Amino acid sequence: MDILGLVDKSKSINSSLFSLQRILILKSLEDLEQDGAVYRQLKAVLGFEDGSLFSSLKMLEEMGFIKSKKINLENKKMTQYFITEHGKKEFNLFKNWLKEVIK
Amino acid sequence: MKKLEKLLIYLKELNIKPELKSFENRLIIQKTACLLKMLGFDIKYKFSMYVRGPYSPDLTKELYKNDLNNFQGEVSKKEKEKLKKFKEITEMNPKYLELMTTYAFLEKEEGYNEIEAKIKLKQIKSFYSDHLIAIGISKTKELFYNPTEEELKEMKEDFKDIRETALENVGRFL
Repeated sequence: MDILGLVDKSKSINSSLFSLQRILILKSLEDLEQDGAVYRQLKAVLGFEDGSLFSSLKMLEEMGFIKSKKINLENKKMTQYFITEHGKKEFNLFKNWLKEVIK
Repeated sequence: MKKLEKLLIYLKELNIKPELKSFENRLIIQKTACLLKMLGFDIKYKFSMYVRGPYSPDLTKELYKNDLNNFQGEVSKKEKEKLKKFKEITEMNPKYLELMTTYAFLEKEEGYNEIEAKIKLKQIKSFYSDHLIAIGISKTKELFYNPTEEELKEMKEDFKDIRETALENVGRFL
């Protein structure tokens, strides 16, 4: 695809996704479906600081890409995150566009 | 359903209810299935490393779409013995199961050596204390090691003090 085609196609993508952190969060949650992951798992594996992880999660939640739920685990209250159907769809659009870029 | 049926039989023997509402119970099922597979039990699900540690999306899908109370079969005598040992060592504690599964998976499936696996485990399970991680590693070794009765006796005696101190410390920090 030429540059004009890529630019045209990029208009269908939500540009708020262009952040390594947000991409890694969505990739982490994509395969976990209804099981999702808890905050501490995302923090430990992705290695982000609390502030930046929390703001990325908050932004993705506000965009409707992920949702959260309070759960009890090991007798502690924790927040569990899941990808939404909308999030999956938007992330797929982004991945397909990225494939065209690197072809 | 056939491959799920096998797992459900093992879970029944371990007194784990196939209940999916609780996150903790789903975690116990996933980790138990993965550990049993690495121990050579007839588990056909494929596990890969995710942010949760070793995990099988296929297993989750099957758990949600099937009637988990409708299965038949019994474990063999040999399996019964191995499951008893599994239950004793893991204590069916979600923290131990999580640490043990991840450590064993890093070593047996991802090709990490003992030191690399320990470092990686500390990194990706950094929310657990060093004491708890040490117990998790020790329990993994115990689970996968097949010592003679004599060796087992000696080992228990040698590690008695260390283990008691570690358990006391964990109790204090929790």
